[in-house]
Amino acid sequence: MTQPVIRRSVLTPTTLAVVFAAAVTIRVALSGAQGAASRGAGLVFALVLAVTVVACHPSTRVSARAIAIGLAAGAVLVLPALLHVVTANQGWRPTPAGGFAGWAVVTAVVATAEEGFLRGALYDAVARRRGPDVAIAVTALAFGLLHVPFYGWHVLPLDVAVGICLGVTRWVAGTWTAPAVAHVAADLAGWWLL
Amino acid sequence: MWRRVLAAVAALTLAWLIAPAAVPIYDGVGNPDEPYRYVNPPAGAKKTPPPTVAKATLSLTAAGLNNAAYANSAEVGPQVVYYVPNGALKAPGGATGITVTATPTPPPSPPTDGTIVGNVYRITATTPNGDATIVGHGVTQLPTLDMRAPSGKQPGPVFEHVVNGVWQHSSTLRIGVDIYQTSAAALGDWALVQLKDQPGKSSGGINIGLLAAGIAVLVVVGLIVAIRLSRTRRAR
Repeated sequence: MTQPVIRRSVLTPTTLAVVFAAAVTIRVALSGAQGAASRGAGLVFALVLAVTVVACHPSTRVSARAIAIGLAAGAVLVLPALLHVVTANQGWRPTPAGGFAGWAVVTAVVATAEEGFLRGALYDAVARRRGPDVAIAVTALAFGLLHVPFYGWHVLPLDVAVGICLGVTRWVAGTWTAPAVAHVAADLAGWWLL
Repeated sequence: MWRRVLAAVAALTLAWLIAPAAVPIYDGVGNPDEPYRYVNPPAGAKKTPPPTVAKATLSLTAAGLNNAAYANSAEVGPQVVYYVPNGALKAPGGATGITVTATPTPPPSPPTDGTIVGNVYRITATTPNGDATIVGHGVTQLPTLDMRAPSGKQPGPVFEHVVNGVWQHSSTLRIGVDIYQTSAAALGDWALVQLKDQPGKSSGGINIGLLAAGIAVLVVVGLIVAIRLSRTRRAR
């Protein structure tokens, strides 16, 4: 079995929370007026998280089951936007496909890094000490707080709820790759649905 | 297993129901928008096609109340989105549908408390038999107006609309990087206004102080981890 680059006792949940806060701070500092739309800031943020994920080496499995669970969870997350498109006579007019590929790559990288950190490294660190329920709650709260600097406090309830769903997806699948699939799928669907 | 899954779905459903925005938005890297299209472009603005009109035709119930519909303008992303929930508008007798429009228009007069950012949009709801009226009450029954600002600078602008020739505030929610939403309890002229007493705190560029703080924290964490690792190895 592959050993973590850094011993688990060294990277505690508190240490990971501080790293996460620093990564969010750096993203906010770099993004300026572009906010969450800044691709450069998003990629730097993803890099900091990815380095930590590699150091922690959380439970990682790519399997058909994990992908299926992730896609199912992603479908649940895009349900309200889909219902609006179908029921509200919106005259579906998706964002044109031009530019989608580049945006999709950046979006997938950032979302995967977030999941590798939150539902991978942080989840494992908390779950080892406090069990899965606390791990789901802590990672959901971190996920919600991540969005506050960009959108304000009013997004916290919804994003914490989404974080709980992604945490439960992680618990059901036994690996962070499932919530990563869900997160990427929901974000990419936003191009066509919002 | 099902206890946790059901709890997650319940939390998500509850959050959807109380979410203040018409369509819940999670995050992701924001979709790239085309440059803002102005009715009267300011100096230095990029040359763009003219802004477009958001328009939709709403079907009616037997009681003359509208069925829900969106009117989106055609820019990427839309500069204005007017959402009319079920029963928000009532048509005059004999009408078979309501046409709602949000038309970019030059400002009738500038507000006294700030500067209009972007365009003024004139919201109308008409039928061949006369204008429709807003009859919905409360946040869930009132039309919702979303507008995209030319930039995401913060503090951002607030919604104002013209009442008897005077610009008045409307409660404003930021629902995207540069997108704002309000409950539009009235038809007429609406705009995003950057208030005078809320000068932009950010220049729109990199915040060096914040960046230095974030990097400093990472360096300190890295040093602490390195020291702990070193002690752990020595203890073996």
